[in-house]
Amino acid sequence: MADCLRLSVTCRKTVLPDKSAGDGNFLTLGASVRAETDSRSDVIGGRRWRRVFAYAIIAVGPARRGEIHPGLDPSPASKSPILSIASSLLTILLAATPILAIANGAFAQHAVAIVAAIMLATAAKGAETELASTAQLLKRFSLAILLPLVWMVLQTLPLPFSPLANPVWSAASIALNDPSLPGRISLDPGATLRGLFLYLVDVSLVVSTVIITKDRHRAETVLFVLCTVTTFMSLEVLLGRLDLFAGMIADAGGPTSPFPAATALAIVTNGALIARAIERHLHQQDISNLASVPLWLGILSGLSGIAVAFAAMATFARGTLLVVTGLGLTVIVFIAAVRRLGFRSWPSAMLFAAVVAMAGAIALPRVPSGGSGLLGFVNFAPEAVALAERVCADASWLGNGVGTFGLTSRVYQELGATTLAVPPSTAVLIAIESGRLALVILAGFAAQLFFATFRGAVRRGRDSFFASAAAAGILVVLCESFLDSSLSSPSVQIIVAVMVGLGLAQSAGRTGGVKR
Amino acid sequence: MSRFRILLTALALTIGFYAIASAIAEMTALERTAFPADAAKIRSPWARAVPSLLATLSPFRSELESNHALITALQAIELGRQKSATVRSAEHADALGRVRQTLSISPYNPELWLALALLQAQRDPHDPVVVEALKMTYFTAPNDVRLMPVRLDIAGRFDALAIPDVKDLVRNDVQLIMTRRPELKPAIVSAYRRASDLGKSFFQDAVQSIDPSFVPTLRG
Repeated sequence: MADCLRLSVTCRKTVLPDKSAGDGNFLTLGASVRAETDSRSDVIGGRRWRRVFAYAIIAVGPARRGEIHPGLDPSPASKSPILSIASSLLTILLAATPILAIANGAFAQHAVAIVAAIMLATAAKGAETELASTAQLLKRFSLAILLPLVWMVLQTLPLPFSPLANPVWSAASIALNDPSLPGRISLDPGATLRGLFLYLVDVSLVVSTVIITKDRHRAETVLFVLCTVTTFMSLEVLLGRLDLFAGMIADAGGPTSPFPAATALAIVTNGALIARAIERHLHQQDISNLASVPLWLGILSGLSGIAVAFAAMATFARGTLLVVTGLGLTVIVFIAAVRRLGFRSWPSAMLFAAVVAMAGAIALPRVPSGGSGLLGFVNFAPEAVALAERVCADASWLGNGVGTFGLTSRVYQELGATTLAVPPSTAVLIAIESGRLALVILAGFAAQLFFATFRGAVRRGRDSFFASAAAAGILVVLCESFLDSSLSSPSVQIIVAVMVGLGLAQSAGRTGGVKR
Repeated sequence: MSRFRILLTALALTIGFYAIASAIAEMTALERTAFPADAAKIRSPWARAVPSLLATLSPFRSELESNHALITALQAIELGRQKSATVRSAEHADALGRVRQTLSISPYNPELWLALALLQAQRDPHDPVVVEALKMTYFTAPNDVRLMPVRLDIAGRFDALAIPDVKDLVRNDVQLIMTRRPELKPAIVSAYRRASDLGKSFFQDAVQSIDPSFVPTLRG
């Protein structure tokens, strides 16, 4: 009895239930202890897991009859059949992205929207605990979610002050001899409303993914599918260069092509898979046994994926894309290093920001410039860049309205141009359509997402690779938005939305985050 | 049922309904049509009545509604050209109303402005809307060669060339065709032949200043 009491006191001092890891993790007071509790084999039934589980029960007290502590239940969500349906839909949607990347029709967008709606409706039927933790998690990002939505609505509404409205409205009012015609910020409210719905589809994808991937088994499946899909898209690029498949991909390296982003994200997700394999091995009882099949299978498959993606990326001959991808891989390696060293999340984030700022200050002056200002990082045909430069220079500080680039560019097109101009980069597109201030705000929201997933990765246990893949993916996409407009492609939007949702879900547990 | 669950369900329903309605609208919509190059031979690609989009959906699918409004306008213009009495008909007024309504929610549409200029000119060639609509086509697509022949035709036939701004814009079209798009020179000849006296004099001056050797062909 005395021994038992002593054990209870010891446990209360050293092991606390981890609120951030509602899937069975425990917040411990050092990285080594965390590593000890994080082994996958322990979860499944190892002796150490049972010991820690027993300690924890003693520490927090026994659960009442019929009550399961959310922090101790290994995977209640995995038992939910409704979420399994949503998970299957997510897998199907992801598997369809390589086809979407080739056949990018309007009907494909409708199909994606319908699948996203069904998936969200299904995910909304999930367990109350899952939804509550998702709501709590997303509350931190409510401003980032709502502000773009509010701004798009504002762009479409009639304005009481005509100086804020786009000049086309006053011209139309005179031409139609209708002085009561109200002015708006957007020069085509219909196009902006369509943009609003596409944005809602992306938001619903993120939210559904967060709910679905709260469970680590489903999260692993989604990461594998993401990895396979992005690697397959890289393979498509390589196959497209063969005579047999010539013409399969119209312009793989073009400004709006999804393939450059897909190759970069393929490298990041494969990097995360290697991190996963190493992490799993390090948490095994026998670390020195290097003849582990899962370890080498994980490393070799990850390296093969990276090799395919690098080969595809080499065909684009864009050095800046390579640098951005390198930055993504650095995030994964950096997170792994600071976790091993036992750093806390905020100092790690600050250190990373400082390192990136220094590297950027050294590298940026050496980047070959394709234009001035926002177009400085773009490296495409001079006529496409020149057109965007003119549109950007004339665009109102409030923007011309989301979804209106094609319409505006007709004014600036050269004589005889029959095809619609495409934006050279997502950053330029945002500056033109939503205003330069929106670009700064959106970059701030991306930074918020990055630091949330980065810190989540540093403080999570064995599952840190989900959040570190998301952090790396967000950074790659943020940087790439200045290099090309691949983010405007539906297939890249799906991949990024799922990656962000996965990272957010796995950067905090079901019962909320823990500040470290 | 928690508020979050209700919010997610509402979001899912909104997206689902919009996507289904939008897909149906897309499937039932008529094929996109380009503006005819020859003002004397304007024809509608669709002979039957043009279907209306769902009233609730039209603000969201302005591009489909614009296309339908353009086809309706082309039908009315064709009919007005064949039987001048029809320009006072309810169909013509409906087509004009539909074009004006579409332009009031989606003004960045040079083809529709051109259609408005032609429709209004059939009813009253001296209506200021004709010139203003013509100006809007220059404002929204200054370098679109597909619209140049019809623009020259409207400018030459009606009072547009009496306005200095429009005169400069039309002169620019003539210069671009003469110097960079010689295959479109027949459009200048056609516009000259249908033009008013003021229009004929303008075209002659404009061509004379760029390529005097083409003036005899113009007078042809």
